[in-house]
Amino acid sequence: MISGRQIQPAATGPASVTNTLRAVGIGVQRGGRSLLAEVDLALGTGEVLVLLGANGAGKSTLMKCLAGELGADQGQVLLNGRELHRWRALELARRRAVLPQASPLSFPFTALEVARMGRIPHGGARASSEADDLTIAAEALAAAEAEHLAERRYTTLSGGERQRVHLARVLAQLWEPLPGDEPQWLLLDEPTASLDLAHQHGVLALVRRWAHRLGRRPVARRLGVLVVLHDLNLAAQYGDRVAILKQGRLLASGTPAEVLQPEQIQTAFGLPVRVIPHPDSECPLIIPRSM
Amino acid sequence: MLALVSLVLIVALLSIAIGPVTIPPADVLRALGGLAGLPAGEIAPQHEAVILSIRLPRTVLGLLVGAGLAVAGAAMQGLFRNPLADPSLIGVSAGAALAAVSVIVLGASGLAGVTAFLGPFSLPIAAFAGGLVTTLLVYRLASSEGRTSVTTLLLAGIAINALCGAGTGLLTYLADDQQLRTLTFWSMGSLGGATWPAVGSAALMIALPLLALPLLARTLNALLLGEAEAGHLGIAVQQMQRIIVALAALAVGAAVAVSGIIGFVGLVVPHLLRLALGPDHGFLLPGSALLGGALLLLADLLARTLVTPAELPIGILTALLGGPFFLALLLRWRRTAL
Repeated sequence: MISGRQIQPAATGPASVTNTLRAVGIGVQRGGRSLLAEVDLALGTGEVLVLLGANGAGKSTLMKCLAGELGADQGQVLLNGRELHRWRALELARRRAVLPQASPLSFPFTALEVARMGRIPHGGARASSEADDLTIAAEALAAAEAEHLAERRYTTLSGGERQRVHLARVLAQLWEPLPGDEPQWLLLDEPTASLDLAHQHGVLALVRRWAHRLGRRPVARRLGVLVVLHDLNLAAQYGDRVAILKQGRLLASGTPAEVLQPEQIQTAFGLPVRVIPHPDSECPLIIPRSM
Repeated sequence: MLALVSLVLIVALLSIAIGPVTIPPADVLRALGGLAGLPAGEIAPQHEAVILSIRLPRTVLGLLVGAGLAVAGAAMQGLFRNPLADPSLIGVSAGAALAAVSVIVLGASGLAGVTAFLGPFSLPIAAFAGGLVTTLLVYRLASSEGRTSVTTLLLAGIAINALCGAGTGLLTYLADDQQLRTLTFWSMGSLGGATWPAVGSAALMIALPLLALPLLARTLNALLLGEAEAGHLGIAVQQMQRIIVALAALAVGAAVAVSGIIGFVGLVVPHLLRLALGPDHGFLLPGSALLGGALLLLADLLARTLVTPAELPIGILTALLGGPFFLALLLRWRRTAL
């Protein structure tokens, strides 16, 4: 614990520390292999941070550490200034939601019931909260463009439809701002993996609106979003910042224009690319060259 | 839910009325009213004796055992995230039975200290312990990294059933005539041992899981999403899993202690309810308690009346009905997942 305090950079004031989800020098070893080493990464409110990296670079491991699902062997993770393991599970669940790559759910809940499970950490004994939860679940489904699936059985849905229902579930989990507008965190592990083109953009545009406080709901909140993606152009288009992992180490982080450079991408992915200005927006456009 | 309550009441009434001596339902109601302190009408004394000392304890026991097995089945299916987990299939009932049989056969010799210490509760407590150990064992074998493998689950069940069967067989071989008579009833299951003391001990042990498991409905729902996902929703996963395992084992252990191995109730009942009401444990657990009690009473009624004056072991009957049901489920599973 004492060493953890020493690690904290002196330049970071207490105010900014309590407004971040922060990995400080974390390392993870499993079976003699190093999965993560010396990773420092801070996610702030009001931003979408995209995590990139080749297969096995440690993206999911880092995500699990930040979610508290996996304890880091070195370093620590701080959420709103407090170490992750010092939070009670329920308090944590009201402050951060995690969208997994896939869920082993195999029971025929309706999509609405699945979305409503996001309200479990908010469950009170009040009868009115049940009705509120249903309303929120329905609105979250609508936000995730899955409104029409509400009464469908989860087991009959396609992979992409299931993913959107789970997105609605994690949106429902963070639907309301916390008292005192304490920062909340949304962690999405490859949310676009099984989505069609339109929904890939729809989902990322949605979380970007949430982070930038542009949506109709929620009114005002402080939210930071971490997204694991494979598509560099989606990262460039929707990320406020981009971080690249390579073999468990942080290779680069910064704005898309800073990080998504040909040499950097060649190093991280082993793929030669050309990077040109996007014709319609300010972000870079990455074009793979034939290998 | 109202329909289920009515079903339970009707079946209970039939179960008390029908038997070697048929008692008119009006007399049954009068006798029950008398118990509740209402002004009792005229009722034949032998009818009253049959009701109070034979039919009523058996009916109450049937409701308890059926409810306990069905709720335990539903909870285990939630825990294992698999609709094929049944206490008898995955070896929990066999483990409970082995422990109970040990107490019957070795109670006077090897385990004398234990039985002297626990008194009349030694049988149900031993069955509970046996059920607990096997549930934990199966869970360890079948789960890794928050995922449960159906194949490993069922294979582990086969192995544990075989092991416990061998143990029970060995003890049967060692048993004397008196013990053998008791053991036969174990292996096939029966509500024939219904006396008020047996009902009382079963009620004490089954009431806790019956009341507590429905309170964990949201937790069980969340666990179906996966262990990591449930954890992200603020659930203390490992702690909750331990509690659910203990409660389910308690219900199965108590049921096995009073009625032997009655299979498939825990499989068939939650499955029927999921088809009708969906998988939400908020409905599933109380519904399973009601339908489980009603179905077991109905099976007991058949077991008592099909071959009068003899009596079929109820475990054979539930296996005859549940076996094909399970096979049909397996076929459906093979087509969809596994």
